[in-house]
Amino acid sequence: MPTVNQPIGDHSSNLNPSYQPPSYQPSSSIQQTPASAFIPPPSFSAPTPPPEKNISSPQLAPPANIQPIQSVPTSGPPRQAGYSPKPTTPQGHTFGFPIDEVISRENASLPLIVAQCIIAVDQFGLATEGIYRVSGSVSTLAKLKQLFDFEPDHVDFRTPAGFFGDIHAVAGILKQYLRELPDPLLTKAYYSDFIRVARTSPLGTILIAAIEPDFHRRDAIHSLVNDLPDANYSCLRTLALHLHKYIFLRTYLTKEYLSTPIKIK
Amino acid sequence: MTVQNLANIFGPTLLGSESTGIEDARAQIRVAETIITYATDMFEMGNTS
Repeated sequence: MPTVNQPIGDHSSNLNPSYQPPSYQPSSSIQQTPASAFIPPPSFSAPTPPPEKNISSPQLAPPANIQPIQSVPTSGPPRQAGYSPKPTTPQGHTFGFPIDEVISRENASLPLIVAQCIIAVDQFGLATEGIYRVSGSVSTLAKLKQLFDFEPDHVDFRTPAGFFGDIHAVAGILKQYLRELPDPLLTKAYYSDFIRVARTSPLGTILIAAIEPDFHRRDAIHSLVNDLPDANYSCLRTLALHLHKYIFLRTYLTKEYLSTPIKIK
Repeated sequence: MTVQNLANIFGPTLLGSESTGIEDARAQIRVAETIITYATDMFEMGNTS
């Protein structure tokens, strides 16, 4: 019986060509699912291959093999005021377009990217410390941007395989999308109003603030929010409720709170 | 991760990060903090519009 002596590791590594090497994932517990429950990732092979980019074929290769992509998004620093009003001219379907345009084209109440990212973070990221603060890997961010811009029909974030197992990149791509909107979500038109309301502390409100802290500011901001265009409003609503839920869970479901009875106000 | 942390991140994200001074940046963060903190008041309760 010659096969008995064969080391197990030898054949398991090349058994399945679509197997995702665990070393690629930064110690993500998401990938702990047993092999039987593994759902093959949706095919990301491009029907319309994006120009001059070479990331689709070795999509499961270790990050070292991925060439630096030219259009790696301006993720970190605030965009510079250049000769052009927009940082980049939109090329795909999603990034850089006005939010209402994306919504009407997609015939939905939310842009696909907002809906998908929030669903994924809701399902896989709420227990993750530092979600939205930790940035995902640059190569995954670029892949996700590519996906939303050129293959939106192939986006499926219901399983971690759909976002390459990097939930931080999902949160990151959502932030990046919002930053690259030609008009910010709270709009340039209302910018000065929001800032003024947030700064306000005239004498008249001090008394109110002493009794009901924040309520004055809350109501002022609330009324501005209600005046936002419908597309911005529905997007902000979804995002705000999502973030609120995250904070609620982090606050009340941490160990210290679980060790003591929760007081209900 | 607290509301403060998220507000620091989402203030400039929601309002735009171009050419803002420190005072504006603080106000942006406060806007985000208020919206996140009172999200259920603003978007769920009795908001039929």
